[in-house]
Amino acid sequence: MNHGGAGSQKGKMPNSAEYLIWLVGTCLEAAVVVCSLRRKIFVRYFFVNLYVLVDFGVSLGRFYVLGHEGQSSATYRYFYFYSDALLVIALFFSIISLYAYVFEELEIKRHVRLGAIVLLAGTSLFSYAVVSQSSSRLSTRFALELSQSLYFVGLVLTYVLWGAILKLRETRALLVQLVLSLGIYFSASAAGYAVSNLQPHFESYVRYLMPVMGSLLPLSWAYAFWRVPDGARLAPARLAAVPR
Amino acid sequence: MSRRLASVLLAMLVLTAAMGLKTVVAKHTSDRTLVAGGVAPYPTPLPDSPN
Repeated sequence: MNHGGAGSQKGKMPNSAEYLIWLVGTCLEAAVVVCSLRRKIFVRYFFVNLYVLVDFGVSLGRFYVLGHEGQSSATYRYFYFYSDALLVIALFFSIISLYAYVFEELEIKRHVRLGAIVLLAGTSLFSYAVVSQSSSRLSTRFALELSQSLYFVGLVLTYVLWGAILKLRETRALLVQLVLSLGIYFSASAAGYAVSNLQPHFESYVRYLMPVMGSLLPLSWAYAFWRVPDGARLAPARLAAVPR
Repeated sequence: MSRRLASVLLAMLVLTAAMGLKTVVAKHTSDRTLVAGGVAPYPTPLPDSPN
Protein backbone atom coordinates (compact mmCIF):
# COMPACT_ATOMS: atom_id res chain seq x y z
CA MET A 1 0.00 0.00 0.00
CA ASN A 2 1.38 3.36 -0.90
CA HIS A 3 0.88 6.06 1.67
CA GLY A 4 0.21 9.13 -0.41
CA GLY A 5 2.38 12.26 -0.36
CA ALA A 6 5.72 11.45 1.22
CA GLY A 7 4.89 7.75 0.92
CA SER A 8 4.84 7.93 -2.84
CA GLN A 9 8.36 9.42 -2.80
CA LYS A 10 9.56 6.55 -0.61
CA GLY A 11 8.06 3.98 -2.97
CA LYS A 12 6.50 0.78 -1.66
CA MET A 13 5.52 0.61 2.01
CA PRO A 14 4.30 -2.44 4.01
CA ASN A 15 0.56 -3.00 4.34
CA SER A 16 -1.37 -2.97 7.64
CA ALA A 17 -1.07 -6.75 8.18
CA GLU A 18 2.72 -6.60 7.79
CA TYR A 19 2.91 -3.69 10.24
CA LEU A 20 0.73 -5.60 12.72
CA ILE A 21 2.88 -8.77 12.52
CA TRP A 22 5.98 -6.62 12.90
CA LEU A 23 4.58 -4.83 15.98
CA VAL A 24 3.44 -8.08 17.66
CA GLY A 25 6.79 -9.78 16.91
CA THR A 26 8.81 -6.88 18.31
CA CYS A 27 6.69 -6.83 21.50
CA LEU A 28 7.21 -10.60 21.89
CA GLU A 29 10.99 -10.16 21.52
CA ALA A 30 10.89 -7.62 24.36
CA ALA A 31 8.70 -10.05 26.36
CA VAL A 32 11.38 -12.79 26.16
CA VAL A 33 13.96 -10.54 27.81
CA VAL A 34 11.46 -9.23 30.39
CA CYS A 35 10.39 -12.79 31.32
CA SER A 36 13.98 -14.03 31.68
CA LEU A 37 14.91 -10.99 33.78
CA ARG A 38 11.82 -11.50 35.95
CA ARG A 39 12.72 -15.17 36.48
CA LYS A 40 16.38 -14.22 37.11
CA ILE A 41 17.69 -16.53 34.35
CA PHE A 42 18.95 -13.80 32.03
CA VAL A 43 22.61 -14.57 32.73
CA ARG A 44 22.15 -18.35 32.59
CA TYR A 45 20.63 -18.11 29.09
CA PHE A 46 22.70 -15.07 28.17
CA PHE A 47 23.33 -15.89 24.49
CA VAL A 48 19.66 -16.76 23.88
CA ASN A 49 18.71 -13.40 25.39
CA LEU A 50 21.49 -11.66 23.47
CA TYR A 51 20.05 -12.99 20.19
CA VAL A 52 16.59 -11.75 21.15
CA LEU A 53 18.00 -8.36 22.20
CA VAL A 54 19.88 -8.03 18.88
CA ASP A 55 16.67 -9.04 17.09
CA PHE A 56 14.75 -6.36 19.02
CA GLY A 57 17.36 -3.69 18.20
CA VAL A 58 17.41 -4.75 14.55
CA SER A 59 13.59 -4.52 14.40
CA LEU A 60 13.68 -0.95 15.72
CA GLY A 61 16.52 -0.05 13.33
CA ARG A 62 14.67 -1.52 10.34
CA PHE A 63 11.51 0.36 11.36
CA TYR A 64 13.46 3.62 11.44
CA VAL A 65 15.16 3.02 8.08
CA LEU A 66 11.97 1.80 6.41
CA GLY A 67 10.02 4.80 7.74
CA HIS A 68 12.57 7.19 6.25
CA GLU A 69 13.56 5.41 3.04
CA GLY A 70 10.76 2.98 2.09
CA GLN A 71 10.70 -0.79 1.57
CA SER A 72 12.17 -0.75 -1.95
CA SER A 73 14.99 1.69 -1.17
CA ALA A 74 18.63 0.62 -1.44
CA THR A 75 19.26 1.81 2.14
CA TYR A 76 16.57 -0.48 3.56
CA ARG A 77 17.81 -3.44 1.47
CA TYR A 78 21.41 -2.99 2.57
CA PHE A 79 20.43 -2.41 6.20
CA TYR A 80 18.17 -5.49 6.09
CA PHE A 81 20.80 -7.87 4.69
CA TYR A 82 23.71 -6.58 6.80
CA SER A 83 21.61 -6.68 10.00
CA ASP A 84 20.50 -10.20 9.03
CA ALA A 85 24.16 -11.29 8.95
CA LEU A 86 24.50 -9.89 12.48
CA LEU A 87 21.33 -11.70 13.57
CA VAL A 88 22.37 -15.07 12.17
CA ILE A 89 25.77 -14.83 13.94
CA ALA A 90 23.95 -14.08 17.23
CA LEU A 91 21.62 -17.03 16.55
CA PHE A 92 24.64 -19.28 15.90
CA PHE A 93 26.13 -18.36 19.29
CA SER A 94 22.80 -18.94 21.03
CA ILE A 95 22.64 -22.47 19.54
CA ILE A 96 26.24 -23.13 20.64
CA SER A 97 25.33 -21.97 24.17
CA LEU A 98 22.44 -24.50 24.17
CA TYR A 99 25.00 -27.18 23.21
CA ALA A 100 27.11 -26.13 26.20
CA TYR A 101 24.07 -26.55 28.52
CA VAL A 102 23.11 -29.96 27.11
CA PHE A 103 26.68 -31.28 27.40
CA GLU A 104 27.58 -29.49 30.64
CA GLU A 105 27.50 -32.72 32.66
CA LEU A 106 29.98 -34.35 30.25
CA GLU A 107 32.42 -31.47 30.86
CA ILE A 108 33.27 -30.98 27.18
CA LYS A 109 32.71 -27.21 27.13
CA ARG A 110 36.21 -26.64 25.67
CA HIS A 111 35.53 -29.04 22.81
CA VAL A 112 32.14 -27.48 22.06
CA ARG A 113 33.91 -24.12 21.85
CA LEU A 114 36.57 -25.55 19.53
CA GLY A 115 33.90 -27.12 17.29
CA ALA A 116 32.03 -23.79 17.15
CA ILE A 117 35.18 -21.88 16.12
CA VAL A 118 36.01 -24.45 13.42
CA LEU A 119 32.43 -24.34 12.15
CA LEU A 120 32.29 -20.54 12.04
CA ALA A 121 35.70 -20.30 10.35
CA GLY A 122 34.77 -23.06 7.87
CA THR A 123 31.46 -21.38 7.00
CA SER A 124 33.19 -18.00 6.53
CA LEU A 125 35.85 -19.55 4.27
CA PHE A 126 33.20 -21.42 2.26
CA SER A 127 31.15 -18.21 1.84
CA TYR A 128 34.24 -16.26 0.80
CA ALA A 129 35.16 -18.97 -1.72
CA VAL A 130 31.66 -18.72 -3.25
CA VAL A 131 31.74 -14.92 -3.67
CA SER A 132 35.48 -14.36 -4.25
CA GLN A 133 35.04 -14.34 -8.04
CA SER A 134 32.71 -11.32 -7.81
CA SER A 135 34.33 -8.08 -8.83
CA SER A 136 31.67 -5.78 -7.36
CA ARG A 137 29.90 -5.54 -3.99
CA LEU A 138 32.13 -8.19 -2.48
CA SER A 139 31.30 -7.28 1.12
CA THR A 140 27.53 -7.27 0.45
CA ARG A 141 27.65 -10.58 -1.36
CA PHE A 142 29.82 -12.02 1.41
CA ALA A 143 27.39 -10.85 4.13
CA LEU A 144 24.47 -12.36 2.21
CA GLU A 145 26.26 -15.64 1.51
CA LEU A 146 27.52 -15.92 5.09
CA SER A 147 24.05 -15.39 6.55
CA GLN A 148 22.56 -17.99 4.17
CA SER A 149 25.27 -20.56 4.92
CA LEU A 150 25.17 -19.96 8.69
CA TYR A 151 21.38 -20.30 8.59
CA PHE A 152 21.67 -23.85 7.23
CA VAL A 153 24.51 -24.62 9.66
CA GLY A 154 22.16 -23.51 12.46
CA LEU A 155 19.41 -25.74 11.09
CA VAL A 156 21.66 -28.83 11.02
CA LEU A 157 23.11 -27.97 14.45
CA THR A 158 19.60 -27.78 15.91
CA TYR A 159 18.68 -31.22 14.53
CA VAL A 160 21.94 -32.69 15.86
CA LEU A 161 21.24 -31.09 19.24
CA TRP A 162 17.73 -32.55 19.29
CA GLY A 163 19.27 -35.97 18.53
CA ALA A 164 21.68 -35.50 21.43
CA ILE A 165 18.79 -34.52 23.74
CA LEU A 166 16.96 -37.75 22.85
CA LYS A 167 20.09 -39.87 23.14
CA LEU A 168 21.16 -38.41 26.48
CA ARG A 169 17.56 -38.53 27.77
CA GLU A 170 17.78 -34.84 28.60
CA THR A 171 14.87 -34.00 30.89
CA ARG A 172 15.32 -30.30 31.67
CA ALA A 173 11.97 -28.98 30.44
CA LEU A 174 13.11 -25.41 29.77
CA LEU A 175 16.09 -26.53 27.69
CA VAL A 176 13.96 -29.02 25.73
CA GLN A 177 11.36 -26.35 24.96
CA LEU A 178 13.99 -23.83 23.82
CA VAL A 179 15.62 -26.34 21.44
CA LEU A 180 12.31 -27.72 20.17
CA SER A 181 11.00 -24.22 19.38
CA LEU A 182 14.18 -23.49 17.47
CA GLY A 183 13.87 -26.74 15.51
CA ILE A 184 10.26 -26.00 14.53
CA TYR A 185 11.17 -22.46 13.56
CA PHE A 186 14.08 -23.55 11.35
CA SER A 187 12.08 -26.36 9.73
CA ALA A 188 9.04 -24.19 8.98
CA SER A 189 11.17 -21.35 7.58
CA ALA A 190 13.22 -23.69 5.36
CA ALA A 191 10.02 -25.42 4.17
CA GLY A 192 8.42 -22.04 3.38
CA TYR A 193 11.55 -21.00 1.51
CA ALA A 194 11.64 -24.23 -0.51
CA VAL A 195 7.92 -23.93 -1.35
CA SER A 196 8.34 -20.30 -2.49
CA ASN A 197 11.23 -21.41 -4.74
CA LEU A 198 9.33 -24.37 -6.22
CA GLN A 199 5.93 -22.67 -6.51
CA PRO A 200 6.44 -18.94 -7.10
CA HIS A 201 2.68 -18.27 -6.88
CA PHE A 202 2.86 -19.11 -3.14
CA GLU A 203 5.18 -16.13 -2.71
CA SER A 204 2.31 -13.91 -1.53
CA TYR A 205 1.62 -16.35 1.37
CA VAL A 206 5.30 -16.90 2.20
CA ARG A 207 5.64 -13.13 2.47
CA TYR A 208 3.45 -13.34 5.60
CA LEU A 209 4.58 -16.79 6.76
CA MET A 210 8.21 -15.81 7.39
CA PRO A 211 7.46 -12.87 9.75
CA VAL A 212 4.76 -14.97 11.49
CA MET A 213 7.33 -17.73 12.11
CA GLY A 214 9.73 -15.03 13.29
CA SER A 215 7.06 -13.98 15.84
CA LEU A 216 6.24 -17.52 17.01
CA LEU A 217 9.85 -18.20 18.06
CA PRO A 218 9.97 -15.36 20.65
CA LEU A 219 6.39 -16.27 21.69
CA SER A 220 7.48 -19.81 22.46
CA TRP A 221 10.64 -18.68 24.24
CA ALA A 222 8.75 -16.05 26.25
CA TYR A 223 6.22 -18.72 27.30
CA ALA A 224 9.08 -21.07 28.26
CA PHE A 225 10.83 -18.41 30.38
CA TRP A 226 7.54 -17.30 31.92
CA ARG A 227 5.84 -20.63 32.70
CA VAL A 228 8.47 -23.40 32.80
CA PRO A 229 10.51 -23.41 36.04
CA ASP A 230 14.29 -23.63 35.52
CA GLY A 231 14.54 -26.85 37.54
CA ALA A 232 11.47 -28.56 36.00
CA ARG A 233 12.08 -32.04 34.58
CA LEU A 234 10.19 -34.03 31.95
CA ALA A 235 9.45 -37.72 32.28
CA PRO A 236 11.85 -39.45 29.82
CA ALA A 237 8.96 -41.45 28.31
CA ARG A 238 7.47 -38.20 27.04
CA LEU A 239 10.58 -37.49 24.96
CA ALA A 240 10.97 -40.77 23.09
CA ALA A 241 9.63 -44.27 23.10
CA VAL A 242 12.63 -46.61 23.31
CA PRO A 243 12.02 -50.16 22.01
CA ARG A 244 12.95 -52.96 24.43
CA MET B 1 40.54 -40.67 18.57
CA SER B 2 40.98 -37.68 20.82
CA ARG B 3 37.99 -35.58 21.84
CA ARG B 4 39.56 -32.55 20.17
CA LEU B 5 39.84 -34.35 16.84
CA ALA B 6 36.29 -35.67 17.21
CA SER B 7 34.88 -32.17 17.73
CA VAL B 8 36.72 -30.88 14.63
CA LEU B 9 35.47 -33.84 12.60
CA LEU B 10 31.90 -33.32 13.83
CA ALA B 11 32.11 -29.62 12.91
CA MET B 12 33.25 -30.56 9.39
CA LEU B 13 30.40 -33.07 9.07
CA VAL B 14 27.85 -30.46 10.15
CA LEU B 15 29.32 -27.98 7.65
CA THR B 16 29.13 -30.53 4.83
CA ALA B 17 25.54 -31.46 5.69
CA ALA B 18 24.51 -27.80 5.93
CA MET B 19 26.03 -26.86 2.58
CA GLY B 20 24.45 -29.92 0.97
CA LEU B 21 21.04 -29.02 2.39
CA LYS B 22 21.48 -25.43 1.26
CA THR B 23 22.22 -26.61 -2.29
CA VAL B 24 19.14 -28.86 -2.32
CA VAL B 25 16.74 -26.29 -0.82
CA ALA B 26 17.99 -23.38 -2.95
CA LYS B 27 18.23 -25.42 -6.17
CA HIS B 28 15.30 -23.70 -7.84
CA THR B 29 16.24 -20.33 -6.54
CA SER B 30 14.05 -17.24 -6.45
CA ASP B 31 14.92 -13.70 -5.40
CA ARG B 32 14.05 -14.44 -1.78
CA THR B 33 16.71 -15.41 0.75
CA LEU B 34 16.27 -17.08 4.14
CA VAL B 35 16.57 -14.73 7.08
CA ALA B 36 17.50 -15.44 10.68
CA GLY B 37 14.40 -14.36 12.52
CA GLY B 38 13.30 -10.81 12.41
CA VAL B 39 9.74 -9.82 11.75
CA ALA B 40 10.35 -6.88 9.45
CA PRO B 41 8.93 -6.97 5.91
CA TYR B 42 11.26 -8.43 3.31
CA PRO B 43 12.84 -5.82 1.02
CA THR B 44 13.08 -5.96 -2.74
CA PRO B 45 16.18 -8.13 -3.39
CA LEU B 46 19.47 -6.61 -4.52
CA PRO B 47 19.67 -6.34 -8.33
CA ASP B 48 22.64 -8.73 -8.62
CA SER B 49 21.93 -10.85 -5.56
CA PRO B 50 23.91 -14.12 -5.61
CA ASN B 51 20.81 -16.03 -4.50
